[in-house]
Amino acid sequence: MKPPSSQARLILERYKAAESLRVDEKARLGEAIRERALRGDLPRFDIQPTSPAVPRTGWAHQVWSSLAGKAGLALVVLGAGAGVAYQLRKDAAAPGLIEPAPPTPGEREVAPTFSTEPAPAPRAEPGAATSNQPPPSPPRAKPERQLAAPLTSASEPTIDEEVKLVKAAQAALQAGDAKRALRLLDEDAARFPSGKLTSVRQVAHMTALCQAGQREQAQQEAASFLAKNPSSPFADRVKAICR
Amino acid sequence: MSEAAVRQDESQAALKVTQVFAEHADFVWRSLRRLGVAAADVDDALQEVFLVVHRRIAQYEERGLVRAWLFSISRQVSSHYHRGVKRSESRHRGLLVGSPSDPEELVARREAEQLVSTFLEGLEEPQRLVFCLADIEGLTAPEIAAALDVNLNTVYGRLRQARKRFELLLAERAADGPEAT
Repeated sequence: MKPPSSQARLILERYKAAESLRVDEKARLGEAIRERALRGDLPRFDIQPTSPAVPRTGWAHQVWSSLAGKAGLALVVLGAGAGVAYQLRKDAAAPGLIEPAPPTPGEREVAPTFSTEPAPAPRAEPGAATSNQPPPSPPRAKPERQLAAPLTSASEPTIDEEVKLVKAAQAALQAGDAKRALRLLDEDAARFPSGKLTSVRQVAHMTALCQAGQREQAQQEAASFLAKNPSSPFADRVKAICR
Repeated sequence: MSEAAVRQDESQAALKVTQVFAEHADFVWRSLRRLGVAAADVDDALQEVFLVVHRRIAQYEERGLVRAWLFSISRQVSSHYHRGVKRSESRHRGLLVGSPSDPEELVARREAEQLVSTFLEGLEEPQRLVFCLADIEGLTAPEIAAALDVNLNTVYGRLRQARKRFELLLAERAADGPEAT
């Protein structure tokens, strides 16, 4: 592929320099993150990234992901002829076949280009290898959908409200006001029973119970959480509740 | 795990996060901006990304794809923030970095920032992300494929299109007048 021209590179380098953090801002943000990490602050969103894998190769993936490709490979496996294999590979290696066809304008509205790829095979969640239970809901599809379709007006206030409640509860916890935290978390659970911050709320709830002296209930909730979410990023924290 | 052990793990993770932050904070900051997070929210989103890193760094498998991993987290975090704010909205925060004593360079950076921001706004997101990761951030094609979870040929296809458009824009500007950079 043709590399960018020297002029393009120069302009892009300047753009990059202009779009960088100032040294003092970087230091301030770095310090804030370090402090929050040491304090054990939880992320507000239950994000479970997987370690990125080596990318799929083009033709093999494309061929296998189509029914015709599978049929073709089956023919090859069955010994229908080396010529078929050669042709299949040759055809697949042609750029026209490898690059996905441009979506029609209609498609673009409903199917983001990122999703022209077939759904990837489920990957083992790091740390979940020894677990028999499947990892919680796959996190990959969500951002892709939302990248193409900005948050709807209906969903925005919901997540904002939920974040506000959970943050208020966490603040109450940090201030040592477990009763207030529990009240806010119960309100959150009632309003957003299947909200985006369910795990965060549950962890905060058991922490608050423990702080309020209700150890038995806290440990019951922790056990139930771990049974349902063995590979949760909060698992270690939950195991340490009230211990 | 005992509470003391958890605390020790957390402080080790915090140390690692500090290292990752020192090396890749600018990359994450720009990625969040390119993913549509408004300037006013980027600092907050950036902290979220690194809190997720802190939680998950023990599970990260080093395969030389740390930027792909960070980008994938940034994408997920960015989906929780409001969008639709113009990407060209700028804080010009980097204009004082590097060569404060060279006014010509500052002007050139300002122009480059406006030109590239406008160009990026005109690209479809899939092309924009590939172009930024490749030609601004310097990721390799396999890193980009891993970051976006697409195959290599898709990366090449999108990059080819975006580069062509950028070169065309530069050519048009050059034709418009000698003062254009």
